[in-house]
Amino acid sequence: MNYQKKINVGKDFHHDSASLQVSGEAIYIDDLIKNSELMHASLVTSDIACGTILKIDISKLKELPFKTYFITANDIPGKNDVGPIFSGEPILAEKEISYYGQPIGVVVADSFQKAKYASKLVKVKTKKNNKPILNVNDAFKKKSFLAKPQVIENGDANKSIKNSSNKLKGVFTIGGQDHFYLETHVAISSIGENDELTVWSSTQHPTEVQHGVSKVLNIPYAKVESKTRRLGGGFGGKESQATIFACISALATYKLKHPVKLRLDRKTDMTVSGKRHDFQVRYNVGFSENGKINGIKIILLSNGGNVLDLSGPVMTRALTHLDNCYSFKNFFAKGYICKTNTVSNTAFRGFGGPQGMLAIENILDEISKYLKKPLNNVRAINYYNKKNGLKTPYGQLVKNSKLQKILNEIEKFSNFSSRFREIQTFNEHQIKNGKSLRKGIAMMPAKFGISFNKPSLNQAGALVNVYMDGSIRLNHGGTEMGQGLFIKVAQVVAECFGVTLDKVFLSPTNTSEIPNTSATAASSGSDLNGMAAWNASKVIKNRMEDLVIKLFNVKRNNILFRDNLVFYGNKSISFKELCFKCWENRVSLSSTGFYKTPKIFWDQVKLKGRPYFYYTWGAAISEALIDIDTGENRILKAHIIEDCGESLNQSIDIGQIEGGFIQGLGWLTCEELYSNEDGKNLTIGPSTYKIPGSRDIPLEFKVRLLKNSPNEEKTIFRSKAVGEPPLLLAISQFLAIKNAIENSGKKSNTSTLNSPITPMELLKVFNQ
Amino acid sequence: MDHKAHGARKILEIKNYNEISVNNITFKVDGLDCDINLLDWIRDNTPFKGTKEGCNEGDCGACSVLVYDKNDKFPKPINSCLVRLGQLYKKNVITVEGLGSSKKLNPVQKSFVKNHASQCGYCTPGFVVAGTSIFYENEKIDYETIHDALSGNLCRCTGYVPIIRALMDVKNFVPPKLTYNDVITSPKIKIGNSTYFHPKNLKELKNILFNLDHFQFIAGGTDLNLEREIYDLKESNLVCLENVNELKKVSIDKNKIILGSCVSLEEFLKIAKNKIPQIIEIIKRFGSPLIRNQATIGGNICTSSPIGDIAPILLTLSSEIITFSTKGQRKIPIEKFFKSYRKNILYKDEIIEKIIIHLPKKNQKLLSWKFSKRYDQDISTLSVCILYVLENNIIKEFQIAAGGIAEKPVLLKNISRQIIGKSIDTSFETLIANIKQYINPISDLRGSSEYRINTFKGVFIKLKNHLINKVNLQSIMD
Repeated sequence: MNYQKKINVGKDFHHDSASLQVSGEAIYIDDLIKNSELMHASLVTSDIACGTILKIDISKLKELPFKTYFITANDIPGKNDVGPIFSGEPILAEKEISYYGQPIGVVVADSFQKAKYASKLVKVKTKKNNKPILNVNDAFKKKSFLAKPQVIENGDANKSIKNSSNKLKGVFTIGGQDHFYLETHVAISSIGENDELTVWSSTQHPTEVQHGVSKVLNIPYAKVESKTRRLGGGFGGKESQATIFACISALATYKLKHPVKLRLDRKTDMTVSGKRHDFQVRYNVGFSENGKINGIKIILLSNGGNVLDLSGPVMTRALTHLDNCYSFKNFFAKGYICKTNTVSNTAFRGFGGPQGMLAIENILDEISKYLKKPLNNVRAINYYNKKNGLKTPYGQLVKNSKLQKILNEIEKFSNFSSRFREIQTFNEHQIKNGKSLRKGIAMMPAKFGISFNKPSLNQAGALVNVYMDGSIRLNHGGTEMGQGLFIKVAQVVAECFGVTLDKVFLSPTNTSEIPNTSATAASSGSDLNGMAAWNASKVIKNRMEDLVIKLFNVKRNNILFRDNLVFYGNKSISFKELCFKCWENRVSLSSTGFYKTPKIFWDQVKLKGRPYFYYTWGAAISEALIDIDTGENRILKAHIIEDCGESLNQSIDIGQIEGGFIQGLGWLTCEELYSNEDGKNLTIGPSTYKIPGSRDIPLEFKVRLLKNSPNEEKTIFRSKAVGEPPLLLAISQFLAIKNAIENSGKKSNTSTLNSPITPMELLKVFNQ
Repeated sequence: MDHKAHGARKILEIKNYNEISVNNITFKVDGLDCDINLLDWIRDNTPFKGTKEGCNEGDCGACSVLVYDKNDKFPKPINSCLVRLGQLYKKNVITVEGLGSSKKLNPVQKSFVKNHASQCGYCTPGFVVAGTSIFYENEKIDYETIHDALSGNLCRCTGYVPIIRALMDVKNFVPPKLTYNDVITSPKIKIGNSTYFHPKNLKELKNILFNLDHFQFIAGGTDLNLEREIYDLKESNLVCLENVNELKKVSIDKNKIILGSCVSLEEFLKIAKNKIPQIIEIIKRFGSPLIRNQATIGGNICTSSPIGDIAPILLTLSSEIITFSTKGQRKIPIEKFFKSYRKNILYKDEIIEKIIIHLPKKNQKLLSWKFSKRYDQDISTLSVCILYVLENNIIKEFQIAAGGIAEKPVLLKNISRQIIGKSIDTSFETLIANIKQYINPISDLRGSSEYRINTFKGVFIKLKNHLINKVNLQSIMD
């Protein structure tokens, strides 16, 4: 790879569809086909959380002045199962109901409004079985689990805790989070000759949609084409969950032999689609006077919901991020995935990582409070380094740590020390004058492992077609959900051919063009697809060079593709002309490319190995303001330094960091899911579920990428992944609020403080 | 049949014909089988699909469009999901496509591209519409203008940073002058099974009421439309109040303001800026401009929600309601207006004609608080408004009202009784210690009873420090 003189890579191109998006011309699934040409489906859902279906009464449908169709699990020709890892995950309930709002059937009519109206007329008679299990506490008591517990162990935690001079134990909970992508789940299916299905859906994983549809309809993969051009946001919520709704639309299409759209309205979407797992953390830790942790034991309970979905790997990532940047000699962590009567929780940006890291950071913070030492001192004594050891509890070595470099830089960047004093002065003044505001400040260091934990998922394919006029069509297995993957991969391809970016055109992601892909998830999109596209382009470029060598009798190292020209010796030919010459000389200008991440291995039983190709590093410093009389709180300032390696596109990466951080802020402060005692989720729209608004962002918000920091591993142009890691930097605000509470001059107890810290949660610490 | 009723018959018989102009193209409204909202109608019946549905409850702004009348100088941004097509009497609509195309972007769109302000892009058209709207009315754009303008638009990708930067970055943008497309609209429009009546004045309204048995009043509809079915087999009649002249009147004198019930919250905000600046924050936080442009003050009072947003202020200021019906007018103190949970004293054929708000006197101080999970565009967990007079440490007058603590917004007279005439030092101390005696709120998804009580207590702690220790009232948002 040529690292010098890059003309496309590393440049701040804007999002591939920016002009289309700002003018309303970008086409999403819901805009694809005129509604009058489609049939529309609407879900019938359960109104109990746990029980059995006795009878479905559709007599009212027959009285309607328009035609409707009602489809249930009985209409499924194949298997009623879309479990991404294990089977047993129905798209429509057959007999058992396992959460409130579970899809039971689907009504199809010729308009969305009619289908919606009709779906409310279907009466489902049910019998409530047991008292539903609605939280992890009850599930744990009743031993209701979805899988065997996962354990990561290193040294002897019990013994070292016992022998420690200082001990702490505690329990706290971490709330879930709805993805709140602006575009709800949507799929349109159509059926062609020979029962071949085409499914357009808003999915991060077109291949899984293909597999799901094939399984449900009992037809081979090859007869299903699954496509998507762009998603109106994904965040993990459309990794496995999109398959359910794509399959329902495909089932209706298959049954009616007519194209059917299933678009969930917001209320339905928030009722029937999985969310970020809520966790309970139980810990037991022994440490020395200076804060060095001798032994630590953590039990994680995650709320998996009614079925497993991706809860297994989510727990694995939580467990493998409990160490964050700290070396623990004696470590024991056990994760239970609780089976509850709530919607099955799923992937969400960070995938368990944020929960694991919030757990350890909150524990360290409690230790620092116990010892009355600054949190950063407790951290410093525990960091991975040669003295403390570099081996993670799961066996991977922490090499090439960028942490110290980042910490030094963020200290200067944020002016941490002098602000610490300013904040003290502010608080003293407030306390002295009987005022109610307090400030707090905290840092959050973060190490995040990059790669899917399951090695086989770390592969990607691409197809590059160069045409005789020099235009290039790029296709790869990744999906564009706003993260800028398409433009990044296009930059890579343009770089390879030395052409300007306007020569590269992007195709919708399509299982017929790139087969057997992985989800666009785990922050891996540009690492995997960028490399696959590079490999495809490289094959074509080599063939083009062969022709140049043959035609002009030059050496390969005297050929240079640049500025839409191909230089050879002292002469040049336009890229376009060379493309035409390739055709004339019968040189193929099309190639696939494939990439698999090297070096990784993972024992899924022992939870040992090297699951991550590399780590990304980052740190944030947040300043919080709270009102001790009302619990209101906000973020005033945030400074972030993130390690993106040699960034492919800094503006896109900074966009990911800012957006991820604010999403994390929502998770930790204002986004609260609330269900009633029947298990009915009452926070099913933006009127009741509050994600951050424009005024909730820090007044001063500064983001910087770590400079001169090429990835130590051979990734595409030595870049690093960026999608998920910034989200968990918002934990700095959680800690800053705790710091403000500590600075309140008022009696408080933060040991039971839970996430999210809503005003209500905050006020609790002063009233115990 | 009397003369008036005869006149009404004529109105009812006018042909059902309706046009709407979108991006200066006139569309005939025809053949609709449901009481469709503006959003779905635009998406299904015009070539414009840029307007998106994000929530269908007026809380995300992805469906933002601009609407204007013949006489409007500026277009108003609204949530197209919250407005039924039948309500749009002689309106012109601009969608994101009307602002610029990908080949010819307007300055806001250009700045969005330049500043990387779109990621997934689904919220983007709404932000572009809301963002463009501020340039019609403001010459100078500052952060407050932007935050307020965007308070009804949610973005899940960008963290808002580039969107705010993009709007700050737009220089010298003078939006094109509005051209009004004259559209034919009959004052009676049937869409799906709903018939919309558009009286122009109270006389016409009276005539309509004489001739209808079953009907429902609708003003802005931002609350009502959330509960109305889009497709419905039942026939319904909607009497639209938005275009009734008398209901839009405003009169202001030294001591009071009189607002027609269909004065929008946005207009009320403008009046408050001059007359009652203490409540600007509460009105802003009532909802985004998208909501405030559509919602009316009368509508907000009539929904009689236990939170009541504006109600605690009106209660504190001893406002009066003048009603109107076929039988005449009634004058009711607002305190008597609310009956119970979402119930008020209006008869079925009675509307609020106007609201009389008595302005605080020179010696009276007015304070108000709103508590919610999010600052902007959130329903209050608790809202409190206080009007008081303090002389030589003695509380001379004390009027307090709150929302979110009972089944309806209430005046807390027991608190007033407890402290009027007493010295603040002792009375507040006792009050704070016994706060639980005065309110008994419920627990719900917005907050527990205990939290509401503790926050209410927090208000009095603040007030005590303010009055006794002369501590400035502070908020985390200052």
